[in-house]
Amino acid sequence: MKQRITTIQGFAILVNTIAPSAVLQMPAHIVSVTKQDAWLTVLFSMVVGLVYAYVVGRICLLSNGKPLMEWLESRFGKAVALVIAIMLCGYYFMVATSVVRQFTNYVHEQLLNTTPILAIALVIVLVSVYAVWQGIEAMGRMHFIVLLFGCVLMGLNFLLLWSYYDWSNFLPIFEMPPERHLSAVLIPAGWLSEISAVLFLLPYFKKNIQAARAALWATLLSGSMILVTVVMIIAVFGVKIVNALSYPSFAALGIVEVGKFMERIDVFLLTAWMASMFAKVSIFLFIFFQLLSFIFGIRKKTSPLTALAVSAFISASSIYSWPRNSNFIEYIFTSLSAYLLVNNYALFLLIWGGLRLFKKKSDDVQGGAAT
Amino acid sequence: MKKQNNGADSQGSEQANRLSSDIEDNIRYAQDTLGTGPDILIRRLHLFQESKAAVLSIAGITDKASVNLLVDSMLSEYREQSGLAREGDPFQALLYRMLAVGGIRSLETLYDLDVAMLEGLSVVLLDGYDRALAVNTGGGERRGVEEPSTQTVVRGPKEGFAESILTNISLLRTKIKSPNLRIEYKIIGQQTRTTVAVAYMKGISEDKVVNEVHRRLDAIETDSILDSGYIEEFIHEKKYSPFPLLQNTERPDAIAAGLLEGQVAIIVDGSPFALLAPVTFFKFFQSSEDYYQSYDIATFLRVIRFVSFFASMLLPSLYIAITTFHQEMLPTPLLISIAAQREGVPFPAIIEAMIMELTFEILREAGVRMPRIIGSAISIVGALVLGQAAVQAGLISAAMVIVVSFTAIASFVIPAVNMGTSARLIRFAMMILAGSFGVFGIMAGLMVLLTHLSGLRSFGVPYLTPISPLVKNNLKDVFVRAPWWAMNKRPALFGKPGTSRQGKQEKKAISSQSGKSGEEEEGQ
Amino acid sequence: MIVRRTTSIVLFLLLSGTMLTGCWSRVELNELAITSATSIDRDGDDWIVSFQVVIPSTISSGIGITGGGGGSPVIVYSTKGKTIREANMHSVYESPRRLYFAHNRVIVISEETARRGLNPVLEVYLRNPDARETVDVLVTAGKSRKILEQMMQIQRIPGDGIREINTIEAENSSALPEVKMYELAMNLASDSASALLPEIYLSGTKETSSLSAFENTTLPSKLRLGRAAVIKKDKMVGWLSRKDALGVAYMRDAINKSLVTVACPDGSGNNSSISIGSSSTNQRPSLIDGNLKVKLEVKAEGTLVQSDCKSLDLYKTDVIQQIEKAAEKEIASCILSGWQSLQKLKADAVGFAGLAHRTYRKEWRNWQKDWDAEFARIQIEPAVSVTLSNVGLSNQSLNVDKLREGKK
Repeated sequence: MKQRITTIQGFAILVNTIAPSAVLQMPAHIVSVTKQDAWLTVLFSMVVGLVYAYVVGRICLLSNGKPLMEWLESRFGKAVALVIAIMLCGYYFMVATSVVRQFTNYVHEQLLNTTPILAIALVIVLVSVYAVWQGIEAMGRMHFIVLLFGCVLMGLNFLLLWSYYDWSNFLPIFEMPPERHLSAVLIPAGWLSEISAVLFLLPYFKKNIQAARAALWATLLSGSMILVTVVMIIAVFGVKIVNALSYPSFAALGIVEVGKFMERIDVFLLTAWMASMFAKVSIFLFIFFQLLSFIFGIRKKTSPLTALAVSAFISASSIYSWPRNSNFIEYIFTSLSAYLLVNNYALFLLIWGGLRLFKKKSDDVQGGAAT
Repeated sequence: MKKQNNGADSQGSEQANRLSSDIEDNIRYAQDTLGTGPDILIRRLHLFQESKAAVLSIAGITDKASVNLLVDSMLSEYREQSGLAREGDPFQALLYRMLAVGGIRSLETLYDLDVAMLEGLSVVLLDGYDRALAVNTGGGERRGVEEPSTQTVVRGPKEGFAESILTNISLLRTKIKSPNLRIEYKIIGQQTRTTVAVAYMKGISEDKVVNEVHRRLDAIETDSILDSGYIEEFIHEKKYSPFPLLQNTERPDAIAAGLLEGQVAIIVDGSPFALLAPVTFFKFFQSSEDYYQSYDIATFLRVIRFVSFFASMLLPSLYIAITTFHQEMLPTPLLISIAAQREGVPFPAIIEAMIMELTFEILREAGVRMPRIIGSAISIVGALVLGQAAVQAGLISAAMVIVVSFTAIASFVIPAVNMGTSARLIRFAMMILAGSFGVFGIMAGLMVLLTHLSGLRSFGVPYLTPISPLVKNNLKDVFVRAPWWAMNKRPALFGKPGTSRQGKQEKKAISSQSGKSGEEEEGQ
Repeated sequence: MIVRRTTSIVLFLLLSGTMLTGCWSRVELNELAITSATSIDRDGDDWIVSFQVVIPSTISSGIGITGGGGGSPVIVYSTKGKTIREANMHSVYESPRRLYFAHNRVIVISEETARRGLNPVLEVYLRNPDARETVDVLVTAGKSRKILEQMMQIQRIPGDGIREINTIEAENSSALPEVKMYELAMNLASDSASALLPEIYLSGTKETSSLSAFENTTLPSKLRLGRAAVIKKDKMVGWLSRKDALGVAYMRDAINKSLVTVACPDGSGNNSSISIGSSSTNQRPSLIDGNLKVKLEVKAEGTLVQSDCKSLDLYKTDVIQQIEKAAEKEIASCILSGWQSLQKLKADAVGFAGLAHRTYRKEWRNWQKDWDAEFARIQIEPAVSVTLSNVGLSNQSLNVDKLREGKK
């Protein structure tokens, strides 16, 4: 039986692909560059992201309903497809390990100080691999619930912090010169470009247009989530102190007090974020496995033992690639962001161009595109 | 495996053996296979000018009065020989003119003869014929209709299923008097030959599901079905899951409600628990009483049930996680009070919780197995000795006793016992996770659980419907129980989507009518 | 089959591994020393950190076997080190339990520490997840350790009690602010780079550090809130009297509830008190000769809670207005005296820098270079309006003589 996901499940998957780790460290970074105008930066990057999502949507519409790599193979030939697959595979491996590391670091620093990080990473990867193993259908349903839960708790956070907001922190508006915005836009735009993951979900949608729609809406919601986070931390902390905090979005939750009884409930409020982080890792691993099996020509379901081995490998590489956290933070804001931009924008734009050029050659293969 | 096959083969050959035309041979055969115990009744008669006949039955599983009536009708017909003369064939005569008992079928083989007798039928043998008549004189001692011992309600029908499938089906038929209620029978179990009935509403249930139920039931190859639990494990989808994938109930009204929503019921002879399929996770939190009392309180109770489900699954693990990893979450006075209780407790919180939870599970199991008369003893031992004394001796902190007791009580709130059981199992896994990784561990466990639940299907229906995948129309009966006048459409997941179950205007009509009558009264 | 078996074995090993080696970060409650208050002193270049650790079994009495009253509810000890965290670490040489700071309610900083710089304190609190930045910060004039040693009436945990005093004061009198660590950091990081901290001091003769003092109805000494410490760029620069601090609170729009006592209009020398239920301040900046001038529009609403004046008919609007006028004058004088003190200390505790940044962006670039000089040139103009919305349950000043005569 072919597995199917609905538009809303695809949308949930895509939001979880972008939002969870983006709200962790990026807001602080944007605020440090464009200060109280950071929300403008996010709006700009949302525009960029939406344009990109539109392009990805166009690619989606061209699809013939086969998995991405098989489709590209049918259009460009085996060799080109293999090169693209290896590039993407490397990319998704990097992103997956860095997300695992990000999550691990956070859990290690905030919750479990003396637990070996390898153990934490292993738990994260095992849970995610289990999700991948259950198939995209189960993942779609799981992501939807996680997103629902996440949105509810995010709204709750926003309201709980209401009395701490000082809206004058946003004044004066429009102080930053455009070139600063330009340099700050790159990073959120890079994160938003992860929407290209939709191409790997394409075959599971009933119609291509659903995928395109999901991509657009997901960009919008993820962008809004980043926006809300940025607004929240500026309103609570102002722009000065944010730089000193590693996780300002969660430090904001740390000060919430509901009456006398509920004081330090941030751990509880964080559960939604943790859930979406698990979900995020799972989707990257899903794509990674898909690419791996394409490259090595694996057709049948992998045995649990291989899955275990791969997950152990991923956890280990996420821990040992960066010996220090500072290496990792530097990597996130330099190489990874550049990689995101190059891979998502350049590669997929190339693919799009290629598809347009080679359009006539295989018009007959295009089945469901028109509908 | 091999042995069973052999057995089946030999049975197959026996099945082929036809009845002998010599009545004595047949009787001898019956005595050989069924024995000559006091419950094997062989009544020899002489009919139709000295021709020999016999009525064979097994006492206890046949109704004495029916057997007597059978014999009586045969003997009384003997005096009016005209009947025989008219028919010629004594079998035809018996069938059409003489036997004043209903439910007759004819038997051909020796094996059928045994089976018929074991099913509670009386067998009429005639000398000189290699056929026999099986007459339904079923009866015998079975428990009558009583109030269900599980799933009790305050308001609503009090009758529950009994062991006899006939009783159960009659209860069902009296609830739904519609020709659309279809009941199909099959016999499963090579040794037990248990009657299993599949009931569904034609036009409401999806044919696909009905066929699937039949297919899976037919695929069962086993020698015994002693309870519907056997069937449940044979036919549900995934092999390994702590969650129940079929609903079971003792209540005819719950079955009727399920049928009317498009579920298919499987009723097994000998078991008061009938099965409903397909089922979703949220079905297990609905009690039939929800629909008998007003919707506001029903909604409130549902929320309570979901809360208790999560409490019974997570409370001990949350306690462990918070007191040993995230102490900052506790308000200061509470922290100090719990810390004071823990002074001098020799075990870490996780071990303490494990000991108490295991103790409770043992108490609970003892409570179920123990003879009723000494029931009060266990409550004294359990409550006083284990609870109070352990705290006073400083072995266990009082807070832990509170947590464990609350967890225990919460697990009884869920209307479906089997769902409560799965929460019990998961509780222990969660406690281990919480003991190793705190809230992060609990979250990891919950994610695995959520993914697992998302991957489950019950007869093709995703387990978490209607939340994920989202089915808007069905949300009226998940976390809230909408008033009856608002639930116009049948839930779309089991049956054919969107069939309406009542007129749309009903509520309006009632209110406008009452308004009108009020005006009229005023006018007068 | 083999694969499946191996998988299950691997999984089992993993799980049991978790079980055996697990619990890395686990700390049982009875391994924790819950600190309720911390204090920071300086000794030469070293830091002396004192902890007030709660003894749970004496606090919640009557539970379990270990419960049961007696003994001091807290214990105080100090450690010394080159940094605050080093001092914290040195506690392992004397404490049987791990120090636990998440329930730390207050941090008391000695004047000396504050004058030498608060950066290290802020640093510790923002860096470490176990030290929560929601702790209340207070300053004391002498050694801060003796504040921790002081027992308190009613509240069994003194640290908790100090926080309660601070909260209640900030809610009802509003003169001294309740400042949490992150608020302090925010204030110091803002454009104005100044903050106010409440002072706590020991009033009375002897220290009450023994339980036996509780056998009496009066304690020889108790903890009280005093003045406000002015912090500028992480260093303390001086004190504000309570009246000045109240003035600054009016300027900062930080009044929740307060009380104003004014002289009677009849010149009898008696006083009336008005409880200010709500007050809001609008800072209206303008430029005069290139310098900032701020008009402070204070709108307060109050209730008359006591009037000892001779004959006041409180039904008459002009009488009410007289009282209101007096209150307005009183508040304005508070504001002015507070402002003068601030200007003397050159500390922008009101946050005028942020106001200037927001409203006069162009000028701000110049002012930014030497804000102290500009700050000295700022003029303020208080414009207070008090509305006496309620006079309580009696419409006249109660006077026994008059009541006896039966006249109004």
